[in-house]
Amino acid sequence: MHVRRTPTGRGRAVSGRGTTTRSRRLLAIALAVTGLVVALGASGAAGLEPVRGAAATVLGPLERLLGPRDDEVSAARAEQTALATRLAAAQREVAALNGSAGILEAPALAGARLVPARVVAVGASGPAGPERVTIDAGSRDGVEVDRTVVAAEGLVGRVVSVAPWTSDVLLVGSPDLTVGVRVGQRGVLGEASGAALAGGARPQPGLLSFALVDRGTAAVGDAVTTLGSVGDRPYVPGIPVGTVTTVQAAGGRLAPTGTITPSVDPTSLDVVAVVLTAGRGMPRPAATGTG
Amino acid sequence: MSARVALLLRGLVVLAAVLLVVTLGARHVAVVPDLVLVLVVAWALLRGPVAGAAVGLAAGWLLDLVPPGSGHLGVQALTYAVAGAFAGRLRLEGPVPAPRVALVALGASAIVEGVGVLGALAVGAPVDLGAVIVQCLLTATVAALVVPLVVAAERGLVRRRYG
Repeated sequence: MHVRRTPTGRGRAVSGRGTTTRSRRLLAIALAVTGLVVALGASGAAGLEPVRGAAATVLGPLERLLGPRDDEVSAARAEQTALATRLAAAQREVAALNGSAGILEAPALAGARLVPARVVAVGASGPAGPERVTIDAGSRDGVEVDRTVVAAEGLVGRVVSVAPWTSDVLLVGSPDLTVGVRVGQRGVLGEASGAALAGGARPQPGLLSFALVDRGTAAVGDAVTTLGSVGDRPYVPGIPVGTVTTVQAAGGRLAPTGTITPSVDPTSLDVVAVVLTAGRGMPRPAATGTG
Repeated sequence: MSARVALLLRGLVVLAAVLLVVTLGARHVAVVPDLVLVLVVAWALLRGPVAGAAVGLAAGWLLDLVPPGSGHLGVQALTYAVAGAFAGRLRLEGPVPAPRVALVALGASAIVEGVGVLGALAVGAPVDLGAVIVQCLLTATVAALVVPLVVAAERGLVRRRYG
């Protein structure tokens, strides 16, 4: 049991109490405003991106200054990332040609620009690892919201917020990120996420959960690649996501679920690249039946 | 030194701690102690629950806004405000022994990490309990070392202002 010391002197005590009441009131107002911001953000009623953007505009350059510096290793990693991404695109193209005799003759990454960037800040770690990072490329380098971010090993995440000098990337493995995928040689469609998908079990820390969307099979060791999105945003197709680690039978459900070991380790990211595809400008040639 | 300059100085110290934490992460430091929480605990132990909550709120807002920030704006601010108020409730008059500082910091760290764990459980995301516990213990250890320095600096500030 301890005794609180009471303030000495009458005038001092009165002024102290007045300050306390006022600061209590200010604190209550600040807490209420913060609660309102949380509610607005959670309900999606108001876009709070400008607030984030303003903070990133001021503090981004500071982080670029304080972050790790470029060296020969990072230059080599940037080149490796570019080559690996082009290879993944070429492999997907070959697979498509084998499958459907070149119906789609516009390769996804033809003319794509890869903006190399360095991870300069890693956000507060969630209960299972980092979820957001800042890269040192922003709108002045052409980076836009909802662009794919890749590393030499595969998919890193997508851009969620852009400032002039930096951008924020939501990482694969974050519960907020879900990506459409193709599983295995046959390219069975499914989706992968850092959080448990409907009907699936909670993944182990560091793993992703996946669920196939239709009747199909997945086996342990199957390669998982991105399915791709309309207009290549947020995801370009054919980028490695990981390999299937466990498969649970579809007991009672339509399609099996399981877990994926991601190919990119989010705790050791250094050089990444933002994929800027131009989008298809040419109309596709109509195929005429020859039978 | 006027009160306004002193306030600005404290704000800069918190900003430096936030920047240090996010850039240490980019340099692949495995477990980064929650330096921001250590500062909040130090000021809460000096000045009580109301000041603790206010400092926690301000520091949490910085964590929310300094890129890459948090997924939901304002959540860190409210969490750190609660942690600051908790630490302020455990204030003692006079010098606080280091084990008590460590225990208070452990409690505050458990509040901050607990909110993250609950959020992850709510959406079915994995929870690495071992890593969470290591993080709490590291933050408590760093607090036991750093809080006396902050208290000494604050005493120095007060002495300079009032002679």
